[in-house]
Amino acid sequence: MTEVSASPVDVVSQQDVPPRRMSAKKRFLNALWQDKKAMVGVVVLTVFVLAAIFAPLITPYDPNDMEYDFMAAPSLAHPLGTDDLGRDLLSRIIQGAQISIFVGVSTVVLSLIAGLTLGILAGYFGGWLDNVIMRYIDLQWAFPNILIAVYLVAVFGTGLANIIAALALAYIDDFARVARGMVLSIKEEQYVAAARTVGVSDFRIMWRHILPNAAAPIIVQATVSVSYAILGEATLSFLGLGVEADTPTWGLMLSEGRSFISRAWWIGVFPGLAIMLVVLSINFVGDALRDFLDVRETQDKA
Amino acid sequence: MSSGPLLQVDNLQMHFPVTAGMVFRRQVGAVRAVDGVDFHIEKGETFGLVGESGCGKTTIGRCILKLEEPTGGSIRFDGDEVAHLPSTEVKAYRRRVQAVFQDPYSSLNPRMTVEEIVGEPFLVHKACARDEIPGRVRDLLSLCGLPGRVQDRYPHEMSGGQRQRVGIARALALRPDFLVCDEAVSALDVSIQAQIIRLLEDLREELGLTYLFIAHDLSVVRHICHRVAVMYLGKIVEIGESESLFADPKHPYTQALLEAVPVPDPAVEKDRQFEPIKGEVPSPMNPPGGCAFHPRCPKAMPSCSDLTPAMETVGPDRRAACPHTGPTQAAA
Repeated sequence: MTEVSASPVDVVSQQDVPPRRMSAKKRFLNALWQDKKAMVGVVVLTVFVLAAIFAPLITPYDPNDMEYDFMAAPSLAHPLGTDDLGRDLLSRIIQGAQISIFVGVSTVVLSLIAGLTLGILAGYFGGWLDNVIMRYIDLQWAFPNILIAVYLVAVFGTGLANIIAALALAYIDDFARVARGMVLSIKEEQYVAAARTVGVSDFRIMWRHILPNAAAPIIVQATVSVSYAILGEATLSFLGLGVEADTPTWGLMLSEGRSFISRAWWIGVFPGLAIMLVVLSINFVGDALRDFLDVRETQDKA
Repeated sequence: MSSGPLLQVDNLQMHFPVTAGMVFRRQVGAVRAVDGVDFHIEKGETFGLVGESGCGKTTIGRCILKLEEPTGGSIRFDGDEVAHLPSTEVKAYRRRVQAVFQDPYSSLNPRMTVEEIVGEPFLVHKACARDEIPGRVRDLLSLCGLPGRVQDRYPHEMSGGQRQRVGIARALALRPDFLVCDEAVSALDVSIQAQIIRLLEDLREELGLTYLFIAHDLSVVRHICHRVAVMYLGKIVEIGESESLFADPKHPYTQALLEAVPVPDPAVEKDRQFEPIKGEVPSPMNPPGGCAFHPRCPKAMPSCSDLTPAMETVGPDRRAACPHTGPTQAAA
């Protein structure tokens, strides 16, 4: 570090600048590579997402064909067996990945946008706005999320769009709470005062100064919520409030398999395993993301 | 530009309401963080504001920076009243009045690079074209003694002194006239403090800046400030020219504060005798009657708990709020 020319003010401060590290993307991939759990999560998720995307191409049988032996145990012809109506379980699980993952992700995206907006506005502006928003959130919080979703679907009817909307609305309170809590602590930081002193607008303070610093717990909440949304969709299907009856979804399959658990365990177990694998993988990746996003922690490890 | 002082503060009050009740909120009291403060700052000078934690010095800074709306009194900047500016005029005011904050660790957004931090004022005020910002930032950084290489660093990749330089660079971006330095060196190591103080002094001379220097470290204030005000519980108790105030403090509180400063010589310090100030700072929600300092004052008389002392001239360019400071004091 000798190429630096001396400034008139002082030289000391110029000598201990550490060399620049890798780019953020590179560091993230590096961190991911070293975190075995996260790697497993990424691999499993990739497999499921690809399966969902290419479902029509890779299902070995038509998911709704009922022409095979019913309740056949797993075999070479039917790796995961067949269900009570003689449909191939592997094909149905692959087809079901589409619905489950789509519902999980889109629910969380909607819920995240709405919940963050409410939580950040409430926390940042405080006062009556905070009161109005948070009393509503409290009200919603008093009911179990799934009950709200069940109620909404019962009122507005089943169907993919309604299920996503109902689940998204049901999970808003989680995001709003987490976001508001983060905003309340971050808005007292000196860099927010400094930004106001410089003349940064409220919107830009929320967007550039508060949101990025609140990201870590919100991302964790989002990953947890994707799993909850997948489970939520499964629950609605299980209760008969899901997508149409002939659409294979994991929750529906799980609920059907329940009746046959002693005679044909595979009907319920494999959809359940699929749900578990996806939820677990999302959580692994979420943990890795949280660790990476914690700047101070990353610095210590470096 | 008017010919008066750059900043004139008159009877400034900042009372924070204390409320009780969940549903029907009612005000049960007020924290008198700042309770009738007057001072002025001439262009080009460094004005010190000292006092214990909680005496209201930071609140005064926040009022001047328009981070709080004062509940009373006036703040005139360059002749214009700014205590209650309409939001359309705040932005123009902010170009002229900037701040250096205390904690170099929390005053920089950990998720922004140095270039984003120092460049933000240009962006927000559209002070220059977007593609000119990196060059402007580089100039500011070198003005503050930082190499251009730090431009794409994050705050956590730098030392405390370097971060404080970044904070100063950000404050100078809009070419302000007036800088509020709120405990700007308190969180730094002593050796780094000296560097930052030197930098601030160099910048003041070079750019013709005026400082309000808020601090609790008296030796720093003595070194850097031309004039000083000593605060106690939301009020100024003594104000005057720095060198003479430190050499000959009039108010008992100032005297006690100065006595509490350790002498940097162990031999002297060991034998030095001084009375530490007794007790705690009383609650600003319920300040003692009369002179707020009387419960802790070594010179308190019965009358001190009844009469609120007014600021009086007690010497050349020196005012203090204590009846014991007059020329007749020696006899008492």
